[in-house]
Amino acid sequence: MRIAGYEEATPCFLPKRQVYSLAESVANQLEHKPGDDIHALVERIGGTVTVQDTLMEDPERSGSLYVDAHDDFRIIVPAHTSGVRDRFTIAHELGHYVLHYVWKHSHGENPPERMYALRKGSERVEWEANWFASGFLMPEAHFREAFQRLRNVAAVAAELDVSLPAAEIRARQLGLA
Amino acid sequence: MECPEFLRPRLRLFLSADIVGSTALKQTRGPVDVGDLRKHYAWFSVIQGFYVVARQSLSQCWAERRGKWPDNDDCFGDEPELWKTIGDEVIFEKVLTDHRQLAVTLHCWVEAVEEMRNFVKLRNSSLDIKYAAWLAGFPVRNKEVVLSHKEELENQDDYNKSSGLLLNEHYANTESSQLSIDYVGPSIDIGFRVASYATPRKFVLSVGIPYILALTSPTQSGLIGDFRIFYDGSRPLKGVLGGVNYPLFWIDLSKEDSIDYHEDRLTGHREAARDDIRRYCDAFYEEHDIYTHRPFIQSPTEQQISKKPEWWDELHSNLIKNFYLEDDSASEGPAEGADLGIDQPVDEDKWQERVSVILGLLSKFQEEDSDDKSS
Repeated sequence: MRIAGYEEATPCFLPKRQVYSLAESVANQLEHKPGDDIHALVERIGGTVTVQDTLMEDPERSGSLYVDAHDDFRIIVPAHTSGVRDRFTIAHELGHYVLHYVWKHSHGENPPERMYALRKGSERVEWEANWFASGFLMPEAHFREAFQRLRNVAAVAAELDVSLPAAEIRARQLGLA
Repeated sequence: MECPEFLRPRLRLFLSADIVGSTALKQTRGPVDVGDLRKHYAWFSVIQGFYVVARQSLSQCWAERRGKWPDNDDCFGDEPELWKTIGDEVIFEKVLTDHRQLAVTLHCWVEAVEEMRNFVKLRNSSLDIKYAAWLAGFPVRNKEVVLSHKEELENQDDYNKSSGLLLNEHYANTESSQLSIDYVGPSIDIGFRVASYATPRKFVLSVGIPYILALTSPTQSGLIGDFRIFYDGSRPLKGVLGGVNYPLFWIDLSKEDSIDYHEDRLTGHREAARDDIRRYCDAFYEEHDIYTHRPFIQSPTEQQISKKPEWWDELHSNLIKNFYLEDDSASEGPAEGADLGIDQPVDEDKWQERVSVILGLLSKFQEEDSDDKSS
């Protein structure tokens, strides 16, 4: 599937630990703390977030992210999801933007001039964006501290303003559950 | 990709009956002495009884008609169910799996409402009943929605999926399901708008109903008599179809010795001819195809009303794909160290340098955007 004028996001093939590490570094650099407003952050770096009814759109033919330039990109969020789910979706699209556009451009790895990410892309490219979102919204040190203090994944999820499934995966990944 | 049960195409018929005169009855002047109190609050019993009689009478009329034609399952399908009550109005719904069920159900409804009418008039002669019917196609143009129980609400991140899962459970066990389903969409809105033009004489209909009746010659089934359908012109209905004129068709419920009947003869107001109705409806659907489409029924027995709009299957397929679309946050890929040998890690000695480049770029975009906004 091609969208005229755009190239589809392709994997960067960084291993999971380096994607997590990069995500946490990006959050620190942009001074984004767990629970902060992610919409505002996207706007600060030149992006926009649009809420759209996507139920009638083919997820294999419609984009969730369109990047026109480094400081000009659009994230499409479905209208039928909750606020916490939207935060993960936005962080996930930010992952596509950083890993599959900015990273490639900054290191000359055959970068796309204009790029889109499908709502249902290939497995690898989606995993990479998910690892980024997870590290970005739930930095390791903060997650470990909160888990030790609250002893409950649901409470940690509420504190970090993420969904329970997302927090459960992060807890598993950190060997906490 | 298999179609989940709740997304199967369904054409629903909605049947509304509303008490006329109940607002005035409830708003009558307060009691002048204690002895009048009983009369002042008498309106409640009528409405309470109306709810019960509505269900009883429809069920009885259905059973009687069903009993007369025991070998005609396709012409009946499931009995209409109460959808909801709104103030002094009751609304039933029924999925049509064969076009003949439309005429059969409308006849049952007319009989049932006559019983409701007798019930309310006997209790207060100033009351009457008006009724309406409309069609709505699901799940592309109109939607079913449900709310979970309170304890299940907390972890709902995808409203479409959670509603769909509950509806699937409902369709798997419709007999025992306690789920309260709501129906929303443009056809439902049209139904309520059209219903506002009903009178005790005029059983008003959304355009799909006269279209199917005119196209399919219901009397051929031998199960029912004919309907006298009138046309009252078209007019814009607030918020409907982008403001285009919407046709007002109605079934005449006046008796042959009534003043209405004689007045029609006097003024030349005649029922619409079947072919004229069909041609008009065809033209209506052609002209307003960006807003609406001809009703259709997808079932093993339906032959005459089975043609879908060309674009319908694609949108329906997208609905199915979106229902099965996985939650991003629940997909983590293989565990660390099991990356199928395709990872391309950056050497540790170069990692910091490369990350610094990225962070520098992002900081720059942030500063530039901030500068743009301040200038």
